[in-house]
Amino acid sequence: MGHLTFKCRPIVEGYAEGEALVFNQPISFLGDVDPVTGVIKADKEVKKVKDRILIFPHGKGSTVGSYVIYGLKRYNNKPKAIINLIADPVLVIGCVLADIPLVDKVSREFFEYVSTGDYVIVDANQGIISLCKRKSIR
Amino acid sequence: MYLNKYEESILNGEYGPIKAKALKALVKMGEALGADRLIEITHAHISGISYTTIGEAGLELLKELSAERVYVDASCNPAGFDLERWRLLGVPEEYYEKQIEIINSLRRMGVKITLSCTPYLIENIRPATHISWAESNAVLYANSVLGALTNREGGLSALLAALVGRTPNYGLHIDENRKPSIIVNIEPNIDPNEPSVLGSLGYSLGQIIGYGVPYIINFRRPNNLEMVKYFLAGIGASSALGLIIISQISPDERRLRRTDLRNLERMDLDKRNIKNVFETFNDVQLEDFDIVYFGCPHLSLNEVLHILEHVKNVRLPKGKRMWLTTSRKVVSEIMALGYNIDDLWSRGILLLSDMCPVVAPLRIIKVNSVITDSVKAAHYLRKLHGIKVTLMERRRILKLMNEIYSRC
Repeated sequence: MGHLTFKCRPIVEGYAEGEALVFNQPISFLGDVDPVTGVIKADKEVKKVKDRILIFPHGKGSTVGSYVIYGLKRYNNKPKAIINLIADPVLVIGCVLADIPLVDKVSREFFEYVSTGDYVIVDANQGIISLCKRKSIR
Repeated sequence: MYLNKYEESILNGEYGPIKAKALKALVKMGEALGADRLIEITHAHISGISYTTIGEAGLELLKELSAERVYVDASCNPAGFDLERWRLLGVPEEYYEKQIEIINSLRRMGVKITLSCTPYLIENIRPATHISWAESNAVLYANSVLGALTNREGGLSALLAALVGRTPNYGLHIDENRKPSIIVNIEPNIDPNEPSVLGSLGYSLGQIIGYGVPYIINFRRPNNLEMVKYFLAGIGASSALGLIIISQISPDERRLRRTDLRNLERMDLDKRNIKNVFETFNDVQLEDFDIVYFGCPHLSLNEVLHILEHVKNVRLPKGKRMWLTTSRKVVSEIMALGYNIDDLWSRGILLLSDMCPVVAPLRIIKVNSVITDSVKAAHYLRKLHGIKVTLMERRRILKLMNEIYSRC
């Protein structure tokens, strides 16, 4: 099985590739994410976001979340890119300030298909996501 | 998004990298939300400036941004303590230093250090002007009472807007989005002068109506219009609403046409709604409180005078305190009227400016249970600090304080 490509809306431009970290629930950066350790606690999972392609439907909760995203950059823990179904202002501002490529409005199919550990390429200049399932890398 | 020459030149870095980044963040945010352009603002109000809320990451970001100055008048929300009496509150030195660092960053940027959540009592905001305000009660007051136009900004988006004097044109900046979506009829026998009742009414409204623009009818005008702030603060605590149109009060009502109200859904709010909210916040037995708290949103001069008059014979025992939070402006007016703040403190009545318990290091200064007349304070004190709260009518609290703690 080769690459699957999906169209998306580029918001904060950039290019990144790496391992996907997928959450199916909305994320509140204030509360769910610790910028100092880079640890995210959501969906009953505890994971590090550093250098991952972070994928979740949308943000929720406090507007202080923008500071937390900036904090991830400050403490050298930032993800390589973020993919949302729909991006909210808190996330957009955080990603601009932290220079994290951000895309949204990707098809639901992508969200159903992608899982943690898959290899994902985000071209936030062109608005294209490429997905390579983990099994096919091996 | 359309940008004019000035905005393009900011984006291209002619005004430095920080303003470029601020403008870029606003443009991206606007694009994500479907804005067609940026609009000029005349004022910004910045929230999220307490070290308790924004922590080290926020402190660092503000320090980085503070190399630039704001482009429009800007004010800011309360911090974690009273700038003069912080030691007496038990605030540790390290915490003090961090908070002052944040305030100094804001000061370098040219933000007025108002440290109050009631900018509408301090700033002169004209109707129909575009502003960029954070702090939900202030947003609702600006839109619904002053007739200004602002979205419900976050602290950071308001600060970025202040840096470049622009905000994306969407949401409540557009007249079309300020039309009512539902009619809410208020039962007539509800006391419009009691903060806890007004707050509960708003809190209940926000729980039922999560979005849109409610048109409120039969809302009795309080003796003092500014008391509406408690109603609005309640709404802001339980919903994402940014504007309500209150009949006989909100300037937006004048632009309504009969067709705007046609076919709108209708609902009633009555005493049962209020009772439910009081029952939600009922953790503290009467004599078990650490503090009795008035001042969320910050008290006006009239309110402080009213409360001080009612507690002139009260002396609280050790371990129990009354907190009154207000703006620096009001504290100086109180002093000018001959009140001695230290005398009040010696009786356990702490007149505090610059701060709010919701964003204060409460656990560090050992506050575990609060009785308050503010539903917003009750909501956030429980949610953010996990402390016990009881909501009670202001007049009842004052009466009980006199009955139990009178020194005569």
